[in-house]
Amino acid sequence: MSKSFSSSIRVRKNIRLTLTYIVLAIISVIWLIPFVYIIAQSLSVDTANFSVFFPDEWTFDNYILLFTDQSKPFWRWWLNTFIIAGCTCIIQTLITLATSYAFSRLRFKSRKFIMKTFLIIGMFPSFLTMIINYFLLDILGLSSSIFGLVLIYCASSAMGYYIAKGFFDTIPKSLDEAAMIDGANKNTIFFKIILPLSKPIVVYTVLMAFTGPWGDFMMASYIAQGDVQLMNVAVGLQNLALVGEITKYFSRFCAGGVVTSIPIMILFFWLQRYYVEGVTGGAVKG
Amino acid sequence: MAGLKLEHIYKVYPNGTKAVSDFTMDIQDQEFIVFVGPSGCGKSTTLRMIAGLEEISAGELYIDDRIVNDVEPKDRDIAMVFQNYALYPHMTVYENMAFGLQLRHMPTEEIHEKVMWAAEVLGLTDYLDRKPKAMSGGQRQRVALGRAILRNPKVMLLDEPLSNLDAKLRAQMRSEIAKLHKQLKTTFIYVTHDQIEAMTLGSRVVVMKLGRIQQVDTPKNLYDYPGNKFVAGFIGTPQMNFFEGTLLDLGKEVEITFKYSDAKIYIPREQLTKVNYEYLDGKHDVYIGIRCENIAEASKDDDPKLCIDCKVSHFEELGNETLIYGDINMQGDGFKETSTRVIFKGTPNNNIKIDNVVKIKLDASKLHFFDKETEESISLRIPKENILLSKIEGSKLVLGDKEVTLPKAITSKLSGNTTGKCLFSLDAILLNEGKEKATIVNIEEVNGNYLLHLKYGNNLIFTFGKKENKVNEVVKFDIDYTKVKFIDENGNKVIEELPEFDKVYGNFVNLNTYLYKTHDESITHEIEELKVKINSEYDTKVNEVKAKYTALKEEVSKKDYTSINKENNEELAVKTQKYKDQVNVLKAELKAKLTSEKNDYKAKVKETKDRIMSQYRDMFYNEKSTYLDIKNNNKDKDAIKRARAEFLERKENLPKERENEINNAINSLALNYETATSALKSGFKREKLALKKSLNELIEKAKKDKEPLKHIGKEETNEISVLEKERKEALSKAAIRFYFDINNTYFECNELISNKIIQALGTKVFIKKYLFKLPHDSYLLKDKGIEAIVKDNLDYGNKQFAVCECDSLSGKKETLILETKKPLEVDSKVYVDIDFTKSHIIETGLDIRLY
Repeated sequence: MSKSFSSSIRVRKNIRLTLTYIVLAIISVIWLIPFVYIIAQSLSVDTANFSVFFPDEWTFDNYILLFTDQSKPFWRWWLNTFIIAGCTCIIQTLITLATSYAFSRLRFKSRKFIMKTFLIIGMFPSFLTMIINYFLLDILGLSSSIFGLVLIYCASSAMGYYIAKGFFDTIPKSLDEAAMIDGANKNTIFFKIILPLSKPIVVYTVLMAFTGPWGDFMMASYIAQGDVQLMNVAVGLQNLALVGEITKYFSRFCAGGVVTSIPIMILFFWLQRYYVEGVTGGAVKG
Repeated sequence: MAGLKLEHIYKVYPNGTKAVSDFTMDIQDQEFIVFVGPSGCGKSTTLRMIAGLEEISAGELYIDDRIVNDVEPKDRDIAMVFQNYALYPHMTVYENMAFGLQLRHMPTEEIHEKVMWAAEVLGLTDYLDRKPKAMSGGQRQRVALGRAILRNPKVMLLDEPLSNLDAKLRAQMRSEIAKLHKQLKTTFIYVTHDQIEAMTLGSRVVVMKLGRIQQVDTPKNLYDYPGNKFVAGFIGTPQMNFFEGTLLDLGKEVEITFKYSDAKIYIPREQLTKVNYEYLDGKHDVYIGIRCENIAEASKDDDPKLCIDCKVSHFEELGNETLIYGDINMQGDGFKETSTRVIFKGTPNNNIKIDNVVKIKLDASKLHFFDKETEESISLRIPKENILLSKIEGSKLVLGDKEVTLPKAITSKLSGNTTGKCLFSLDAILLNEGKEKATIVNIEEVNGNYLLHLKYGNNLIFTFGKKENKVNEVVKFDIDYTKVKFIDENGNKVIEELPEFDKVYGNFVNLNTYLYKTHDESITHEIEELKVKINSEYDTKVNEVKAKYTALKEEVSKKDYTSINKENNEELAVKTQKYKDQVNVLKAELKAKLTSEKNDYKAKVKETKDRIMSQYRDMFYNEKSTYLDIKNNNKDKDAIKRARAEFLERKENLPKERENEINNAINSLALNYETATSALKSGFKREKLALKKSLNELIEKAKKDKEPLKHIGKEETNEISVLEKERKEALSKAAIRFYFDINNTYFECNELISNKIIQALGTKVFIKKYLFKLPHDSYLLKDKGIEAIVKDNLDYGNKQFAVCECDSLSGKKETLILETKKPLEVDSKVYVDIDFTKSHIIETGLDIRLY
């Protein structure tokens, strides 16, 4: 009796698992199709053959051309983007975390008011300020420099305090107090106690700060103003896919897409574990 | 090793709630003080104020005679243990304990020694490499204790350290904390809401309620002599029984009548000598308290005068004893907490059954009485006042069979003979003065004070004496008549005591307001003069500096620096080379050590891995052979099936177990490796810094010699700028003055008092109203000050006072009583200046004592 009972449970469990895996497999295939398509096209000899999934002839030339053709300096674009994203990532992470810590731990006048104001201002789409931003950068002499972009991306970073503050709030305040009695100042508490405990949220902030500028098109396109030396990858790839030229560059466009996604993929795979914790950690009180 | 002093400490939150009010206490070195009280009574807030985590709103906190109100927590030399342990989760136990010392830049070896010592004391040696997550609650709290003790703080603060532990661990940790206190010989301050912890640990216990101290005493005294009903009810389980009732003096006995019941008991009058006899009139409602262990079932031989009837309602079995619940009101049910319910200890027997009425006996010597209105004890160990039945006959005061002559100040107001009672405080008796004589009949020691019972004629009076006083000794004394009251039978005050203070209201103003109101030119002149003086003082100082440097410059310009520079350069080159060499050597050493560590580590990892692998391989083969054995030698199919299932399960699980074990082993190895390498690296860094320091000194010197004039010029400007800064400060300070405005008369406020007031109230100082309590000796007769008219002179024999009247803003007359050497002319005008250092200053809005 007990044997059949236990075996029936096992059978049912196996069936359930099999079904789940089949569904997951189908979904992941669907999700992977565009990616496979772009990789396949990037290896095509024919420069524009969108209608077939797999090309007839295969070559690596597209990738080589991508890095050697001086009229379309993809290497330059990639480097620009990397510099912008890297700088933004460092500055923005520092500012965001510091702001969050201040909002979470310090009690100062109009703290609540500033928090609410940040939240409301953050709800407006950023392109509303695009023209003003351009004039401001012009005054600063940064209107045709990639560091102007860094400035724009970093300027609003304090507004992203919300998730990190939620996470800091879950760290007991008595830890700060114990450290204070141990002889730590606010700096030491932040860097030696709070940050090591907030790895997930640090990773989350880093990822957000990196991916934002990495894929940005709008701000970057009006800083570049058609100058190929100032473009980032998004603007550059669009430059490859201009009407009239698309037939000439389509396979190279695909190759560019593949190369662009590599750093993000590496980052995500590396930090995936923390990322999930970070997204959920701020919301749930531990 | 330090004492603590808390003086009139207040905590007021911005929204006006007072968390702690007027907390005053002296804590001796090595004492174990426990703050206890219900939640929200301000005990944790007080502790956090001592720690410096919470700002002190008003009052002063001294640690070791140093005022620490504005000192950072880390500089107060305290350590604190938190309720939730507050261990740093990402650090190991070792790092947790060492963190505080590392921040104080203690050498690594010393830290190591101290941590090992603390770990030894608390039995944590085996857990040093663990993280807090992997430890039990008791162990975590021990780590927190360890972190606190290894700094050897002056004061240990413990904020409910045991309330997160289960009951058994709590008892264990309690005795460990007591042991620790004995071992460390430090002052401990311990906060808890658990009265058992308070009673077992504290050398003195502070009972708090609603931010106020209720009583401070040893646990035994708290239990035996509670100062009010709250303390009586809070200390001791089960709670003390409280009844309502009245007391009636019958001469030799006192009749106690219980309300809502027919019960009456009679106790000897001697036991209530210290009770104000007003309460013995059979009309005043009082609470009668008695603990459950002082009530017992009455036997036949017991005095019926101490027995009452009680209807038993239910029992509570505690194992070793039984609590019997009953009611002295025959209609009561004994469940609700009423003023007739009674709980006592005993054993249920034939007689004591539910719903039976039994006789219970109260221990008369253990009864407590509390006023119904104020809930204060009326049988305090130290009575508040002496109260004697007396008569006034002419200028004489008759106290029983003795009589004393009243001073002129009192007799002049008397209007004939009356009878009533005479009240005077304990310190109104001035021992070893005057001509009155009394015999000491008893001496009690109460909290370091010696309470004397004096037999004066047929009166018993109380006063404070000294250790040298002996029973049956005859002492001389005098009465301070300023503290004597007389109330006649109708309740009229015939003689009033001289109030201790005159109460005056006023404001706090700054210089500008003062000038605007008074147009006092002299003060502006004074400040101008002061400024001129400061300026000239600093001018001379600056000139001196300038002269010094001109001389130096001249001297330098005469000297030839080329050879010195050359020498310097040569030395610098040699030293730099040497420094580089030394650093290289160190680097190489470090590298060699690191590589050897690394190789060691790798070898160890490999060895452990191999060992575990082979171990598991053996295990697997064992399992397999057992299974094959059973399979080959056994006919029973079921058995084979079972063995097979078992084998398969083992086969599936063994790799996982192996992985786990390998991971654990490697983790602990990695931890050791990391500790070793980080120690090596930090050692290298320290040595390098030390080398660099001596080199830097040389570089600095060379720089100085290269351009001597420029360097001297720099030093000169530096020194002058420091002086200028000082001058600026002195000038601005000269113009900062504060005044008290009392009825439009202004008094300059000294720096000490104004600082205290500003510290407590911040920017609101100018809009608040202040109450000044002025003692009689704080007045000075001068040619400036409050204008007052002398109305009367009071002659108290050994002291003289003058009663003066002055106008107040509200139009009412205010009375000031001045202590004087000789009588002043009545109706003459005097000007009174006030010495505020002798006064008390109170903010009226929130009732905060500021000075």
